[in-house]
Amino acid sequence: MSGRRVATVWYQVSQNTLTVVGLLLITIVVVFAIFAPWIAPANPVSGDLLNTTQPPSSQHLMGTDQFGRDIFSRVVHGARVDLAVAGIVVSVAFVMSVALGALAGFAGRVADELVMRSMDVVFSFPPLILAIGIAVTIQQGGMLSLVVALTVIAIPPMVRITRAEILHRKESLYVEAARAIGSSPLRVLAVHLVPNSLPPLVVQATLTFGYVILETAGLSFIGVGVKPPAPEWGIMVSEGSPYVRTGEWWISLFPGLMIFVTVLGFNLVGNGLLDVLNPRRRRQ
Amino acid sequence: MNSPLLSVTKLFKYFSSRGQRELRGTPEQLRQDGPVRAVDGVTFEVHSHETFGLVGESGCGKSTLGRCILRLLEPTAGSVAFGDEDVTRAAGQRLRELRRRMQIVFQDAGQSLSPMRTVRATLAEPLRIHGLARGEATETRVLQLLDQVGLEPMHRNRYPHQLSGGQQQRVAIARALATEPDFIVLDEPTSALDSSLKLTVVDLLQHVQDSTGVSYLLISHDLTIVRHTCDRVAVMYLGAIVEIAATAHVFDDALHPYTQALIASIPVPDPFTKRERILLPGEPPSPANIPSGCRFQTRCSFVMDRCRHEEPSLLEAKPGHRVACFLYAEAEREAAPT
Repeated sequence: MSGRRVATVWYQVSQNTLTVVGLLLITIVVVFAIFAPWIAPANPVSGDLLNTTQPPSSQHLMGTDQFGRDIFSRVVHGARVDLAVAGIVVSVAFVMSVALGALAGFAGRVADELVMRSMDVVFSFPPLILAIGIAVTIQQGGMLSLVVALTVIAIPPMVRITRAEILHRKESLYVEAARAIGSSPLRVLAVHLVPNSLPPLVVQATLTFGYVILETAGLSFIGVGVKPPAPEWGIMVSEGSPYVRTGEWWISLFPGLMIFVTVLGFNLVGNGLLDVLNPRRRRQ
Repeated sequence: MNSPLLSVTKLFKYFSSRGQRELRGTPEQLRQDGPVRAVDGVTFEVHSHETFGLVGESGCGKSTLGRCILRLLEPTAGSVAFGDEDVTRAAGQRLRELRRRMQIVFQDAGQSLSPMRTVRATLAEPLRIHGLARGEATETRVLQLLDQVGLEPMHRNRYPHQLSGGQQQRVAIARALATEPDFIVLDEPTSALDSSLKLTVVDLLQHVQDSTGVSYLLISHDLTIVRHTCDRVAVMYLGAIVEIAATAHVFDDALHPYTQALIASIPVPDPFTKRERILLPGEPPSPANIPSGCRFQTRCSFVMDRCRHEEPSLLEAKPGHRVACFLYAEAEREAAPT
């Protein structure tokens, strides 16, 4: 997309209050992630064992956990971990989906069947169960197995979208016009089909970003994702859960809120983009 | 006349009535399975500097024929010769060179422009593909093309959706002109435009022809525009040409009953003119089920016994005026001995 088009999209996005709220939420989390060492008042990993399970106070904004670690510092550093995982997963899945979807939609029946039936296999598992399976099988230490598992389950929906867009646009008049001026099939694909198919993928990628954060937290919660003592939100919720019953609600609540806020932010932005990039609204 | 620029000989394009697969085999074999006979044995030629009109109602195969000539669709059978090059057999570099020399302008200009590319990118693409301009020369050429079709230099930074319908059609025409072709298929170039714009686009096309000597194949159902611009006209009905002659002959001395009905349907801008309307009974048959014998027999008011059994071929009834109809069979008898 060119600068001018980005400017148009930005204008239309800014007209929608919910989308702006979503952007704001994402911005907060991104700022946390980038400036974590400066924002966090304490070390996120080493605790003060004399000050365990303290409720929120002016000294510890979100209280401390059972090891006396400052929860606010851990929440801020957690943004790094969760955004990094989601960022890597979504980028890798995006590139692979475009390649696989273009192959399926453009390279003929055999390639199409091969790619799409493989996607069906992935689709036929409940996504989280499959991710657990993959993560446990790889056992390469938390992060890598988590990233691989989440990438595998993020790819199929995006491949389907890419393929559908390519198949639909392959019949369009501008593709025929491109062939008429002598474009090679590869050029038609790279210059006309793929760029014009990207908008719905950008929407899907944004929404996927939210799901991946949720899944990262979910897998870490049950112990197959990021390993403690890393300040990951899912682990923090998990570690705090026994204490909820005894009244120490803050240990789980604040990381849980962060997951909620981040996922909400990406979903709001995704839906806003969906409206803006919808072809029926494009001419406005 | 000197040798034609483009000659189309017995061109067929059949589509399968089930599924999307390409049909292979001779037309006679394929006819057993009841295919959609979009183009059913068409022969004609176009000369240099000529505007050749192709008229007929919607669905008669005009656009399919245009696409087959450019190899945007693979013809089922028949040959297309462009200069001394066989279009139906060309491949690789030779096909690309043909694409440079033969161009097309589509009916829906807005749809024919890639939505995420600026006018500059659209016009620079053919230059780059055919190695016609590089670097700054590209920019110069783009400006020159915009000027040629009556657009402003500022339009080169626009996206298709930021242009009006008439401007989009001008960009499409400029793209077709970028490679300096000898031949352009104009597939209903004015049908999507309102009447005031139609004339400006037609004028533009004629101006281009005067300055470059390009030949046009004008596919249209707008008979006024065909009459206004074409040197010769072919009338198509259900995939076949039923009459072919100089424009004046087709409009003032139509021979085929279908052409007569078509000409009589042209509105006359005078409410007091009493004119004879020829109403054709019924709808045109489906191209998947073309009547045997004369394809027009089901709607023709002059139908004879012979028309039901035998298919009339396109024969010269008067000098330069060919028609496929048994009403002019004496011409056939005269022509037979030669």
